[in-house]
Amino acid sequence: MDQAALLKEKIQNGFIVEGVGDMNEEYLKALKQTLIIVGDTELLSVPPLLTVYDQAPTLNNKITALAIMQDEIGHAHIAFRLLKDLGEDTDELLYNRAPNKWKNPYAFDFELSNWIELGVFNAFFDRAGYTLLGDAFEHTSYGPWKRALVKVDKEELFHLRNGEIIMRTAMNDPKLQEEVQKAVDWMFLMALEFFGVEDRLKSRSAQLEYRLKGRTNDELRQKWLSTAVPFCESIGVKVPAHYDEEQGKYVLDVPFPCKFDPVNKKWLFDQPDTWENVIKRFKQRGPQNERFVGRIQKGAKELEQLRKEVV
Amino acid sequence: MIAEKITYDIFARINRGDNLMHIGTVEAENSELAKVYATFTYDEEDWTEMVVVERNKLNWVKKPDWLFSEKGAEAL
Repeated sequence: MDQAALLKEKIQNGFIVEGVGDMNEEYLKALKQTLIIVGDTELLSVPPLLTVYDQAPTLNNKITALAIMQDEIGHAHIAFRLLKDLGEDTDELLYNRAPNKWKNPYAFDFELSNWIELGVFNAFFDRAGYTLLGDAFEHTSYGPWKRALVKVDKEELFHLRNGEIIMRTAMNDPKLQEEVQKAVDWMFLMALEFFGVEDRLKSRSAQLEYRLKGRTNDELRQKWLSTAVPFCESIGVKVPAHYDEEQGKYVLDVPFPCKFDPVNKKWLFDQPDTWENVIKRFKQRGPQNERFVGRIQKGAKELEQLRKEVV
Repeated sequence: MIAEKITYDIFARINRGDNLMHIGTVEAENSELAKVYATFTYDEEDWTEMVVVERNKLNWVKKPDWLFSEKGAEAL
């Protein structure tokens, strides 16, 4: 039996990988790719949240928002520490990588327009994070990551509950209901894009074969819908999805994927799109990509400059 | 001269009577900073005890029997 087949068989029978000594090159590569996506996503969630945190309606709201950002940085720290233990140069990844090479979701390349959007960000995007990382926590074959996710799982749940509270409170105020609906209208499909291309378009997935995660993209998308849709319905927010009794799953009422107008943050439902084009859009990055990555790298670059001047 | 960063492993106990667990790692220039980073990064519990240990001061008695070799499958 070759090494890949041996490792895959052991993993499918519950073997937990504890270090590089248990890995083949393919496992290590898939693990690093996964952790880079996770680390980038956690870290780059902070700049958009910062764009509106000073609009917090109460001091308590502001403290909670700051605590959430601190958590996200902590989660990024965990992912990058794991990467360093796997031999990656994390200073290079963090401070010298071009903005368009970062792997955070396209949804994080946008400024938020108001405090309500921060609530929907927590309720939808942190829910996507909770769905994806909760699955990894439950299924991943990489022991050090599984243990690290205890903290992450707990904190992401707190973030999404915070988002739900902001949304529910706003829906009780007739003046804010429209803002909630407007935020949901662009952020709902953005959250669905977190889970990646449809299963039928993927030939194979090293992430699944090596059990870095347990559920497929479509299964995870359904899991997200199964809590997000009932929540939105319960507070009177309209979402473009419903549960279809016959099919036994959630179905969308709009084309997905679909073209997006990044300037007006608006989905163009009359222009259905392909996943191929969506990936192109992801790679082109959104409007704030350079500014947000620049913000992460600014301090390190300035310090580097100062050191050069002193010498 | 920039001080070299040291890797610290962090162990903590949630309540009296619980097991001491490995909860994470930090990198720091010295153990005083490592204590500060550990406190702020791993604040998910109100720990009864927390300790930071320099990774290279850990004296291993046993490591896992690696599936391939210490450096992985390609090193075989």
